Amino acid sequence: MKISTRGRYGLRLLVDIAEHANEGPIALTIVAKRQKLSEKYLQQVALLLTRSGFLNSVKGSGGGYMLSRDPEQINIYDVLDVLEGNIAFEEPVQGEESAIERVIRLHFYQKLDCEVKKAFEGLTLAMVTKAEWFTYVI
Amino acid sequence: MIPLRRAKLVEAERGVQGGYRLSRSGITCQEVLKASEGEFKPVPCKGCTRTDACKTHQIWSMLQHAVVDFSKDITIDELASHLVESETGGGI
Repeated sequence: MKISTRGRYGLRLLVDIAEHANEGPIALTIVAKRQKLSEKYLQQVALLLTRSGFLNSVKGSGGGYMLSRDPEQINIYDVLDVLEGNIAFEEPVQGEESAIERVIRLHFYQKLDCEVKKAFEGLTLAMVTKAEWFTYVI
Repeated sequence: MIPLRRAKLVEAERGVQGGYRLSRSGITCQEVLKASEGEFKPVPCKGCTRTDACKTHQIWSMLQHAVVDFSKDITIDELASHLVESETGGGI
C-alpha cells in the first residue's frame, strides 16, 4: 500500500486551511505558494474534498475554501479513505483463491487493515494541526 | 526465492530430494516483506527538506510504525498453523 500524491497533497491542503481558518476563505493560489504545490493539482483535490463534504467553496472576490466543520470533527482516516478510494491492504479475491492465499488474506492482510484503522482511531485534523498527538519519533 | 535466501529466511538443498525449507522457526511477516519488497514506506518522502515542518509527515510515520509493528507480531508458523486447522493445502 502506497499513499498517492492525491492523498498526500489533499491532507496538506486540509492542514493548511485548518491552520489559517481564522483568515476566512483561503484561495488555492495562497496554499499553492505556501506549500509549494501545483495550484492546478490542488484544484482537483479541493473539488474532491468539497464534493465529499470536508470543504466548502466560497465564490467571488475574497473567495476560496473553508473547512465545512470544526477540525475536531474531521477524521483523518475518513479523509484518506475518500482521497485514496480505499486504503486497505486486503485485495478483493479474483478467481479461485488457494488455501494459502485465503489464510494470508484472513489472518494477515485483514487483521493488518484492522490494526491500521485502530491506529487512526480518534485522530482528527485538529490534532494533526496542533501536532499534539504525536508519539512516534520520525 | 532469491531475496528470501539472501535474507537467510530459506535454505536450499541440492539434489534429487532437494528443495527449499525455512531456515528457522519464528520468521515474521515483517522479515519476509522486508526481504522481498524492502522497507515499508507509505510515502516517498526521502530527501524532503520539509520533513521537520511537515505536520502530515507524522501521519505517515504513524502509519509506517503501525504496519511494521503488526507485521513483526505475525509469524509464518502461525499462518501455517491456520492452514493445518483448515486441513487444506494448496498451492501459492
